[in-house]
Amino acid sequence: MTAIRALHPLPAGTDPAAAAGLAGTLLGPVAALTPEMGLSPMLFAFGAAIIGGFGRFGGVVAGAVLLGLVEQFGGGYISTNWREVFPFAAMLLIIAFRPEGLFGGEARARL
Amino acid sequence: MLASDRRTGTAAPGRRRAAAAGGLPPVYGRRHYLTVAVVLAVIALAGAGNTGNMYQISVFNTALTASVATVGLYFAYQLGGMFAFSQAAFMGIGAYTSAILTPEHGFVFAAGVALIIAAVLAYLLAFLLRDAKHMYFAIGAMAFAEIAVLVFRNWEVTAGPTGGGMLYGIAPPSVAGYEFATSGQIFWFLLAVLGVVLLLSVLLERSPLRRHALAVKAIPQVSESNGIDPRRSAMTLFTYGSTLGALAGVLQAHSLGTIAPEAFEVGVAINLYLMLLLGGVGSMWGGVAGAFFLTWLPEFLRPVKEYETVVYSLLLLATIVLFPNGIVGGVAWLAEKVRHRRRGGRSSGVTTHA
Repeated sequence: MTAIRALHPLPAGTDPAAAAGLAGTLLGPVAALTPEMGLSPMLFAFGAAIIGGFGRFGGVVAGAVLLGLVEQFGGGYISTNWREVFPFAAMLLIIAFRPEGLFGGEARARL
Repeated sequence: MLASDRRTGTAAPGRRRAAAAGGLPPVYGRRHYLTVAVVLAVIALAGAGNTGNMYQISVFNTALTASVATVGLYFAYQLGGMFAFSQAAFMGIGAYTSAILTPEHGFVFAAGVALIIAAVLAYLLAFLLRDAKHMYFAIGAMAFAEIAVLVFRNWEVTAGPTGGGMLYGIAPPSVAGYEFATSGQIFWFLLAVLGVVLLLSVLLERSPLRRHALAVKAIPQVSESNGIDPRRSAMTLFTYGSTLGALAGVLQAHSLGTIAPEAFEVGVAINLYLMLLLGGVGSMWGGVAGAFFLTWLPEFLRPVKEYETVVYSLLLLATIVLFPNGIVGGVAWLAEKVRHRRRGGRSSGVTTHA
């Protein structure tokens, strides 16, 4: 029997919410602020998590960086007009061919 | 969700249980057709008095268009089990295709081509994402929707980057030489289209495809071992639902006369979801009820003026809390209660607050 405290001092929802708040603070200076601005960055975040594979923290970070690079390089080398399309196309293709993400697998605790 | 589970329970085991209960399962009944007639008659009666009032009837037209899209969503999401966040994008595909082709080829041909293109794209999307489950499919569909909106905004054919993807002066629908020019005439046209859509959907509701889809949802392994391909039923239903979405887009483009990319963003698809969930996800009638409820709600809230958004949100919350199975689910529950009462069942009569 292992005792894992079910009621952690910080409930599970607090941490991601704090991270999202931090992301909003960082986004503020570079994007226009409106109450409706949330949806598009949220989709980007989901995309990054999916590409990395939900299971791994490192994968998520790598996915986010990859999406940003795809957008910038696609915009730079292929077409500026269609810059925003590239990360979504990448998302779609990665979900199609690697449904469990590039770095695979569900979150699992190593015991 | 509960209502649908109960339905699954009665529909899937089929004839045997129904025979034991002393009646045939719903698929064998004719009640569906009666319901279509009643729904159309109610909308017709409500709308007939307002065909002269431009503003009122345009609200009806919006609700009718949204109904077509949410009925499609019911098939893609509830039966097919696909998170169709692409529904608004398919509306856009239908709207733009039809708007661009109508001047040269006429409304009927353009609408037909729009539906075919949307159906092919929907099937391709479903095929591409066939291995993606739940969340993953949802993100894939959202990515597709974002790409579609960016295409509307940037492609020269859809009034490219300079025009911002706005199309104006789209001709009103005309069939066999008759043009539905005024909002009042368009109302009857939309009602007729909704009628056709509901009849087609009833056929689908009564078909083996629905039973397969329900079986796949309830008992995936067993249904697969009985020779039902879970992917195939889901892909077919998604294609049908998305095509209905495109039809709604066609109707919207030609009844409003103008379209813009903003009308087809992911947020609009979420709004369609809200309609379906509020109306009741357990049956396709929920889509119609939710579309009318959510379109009319802001109109009823005009008197409260600046508090409109707040009251609107509160009413939405209240509806979700009071009717967890949606409006249709709530009405069905009430009808069941009344029936129990009338039958004089002591057990059921006592439970209500007497």
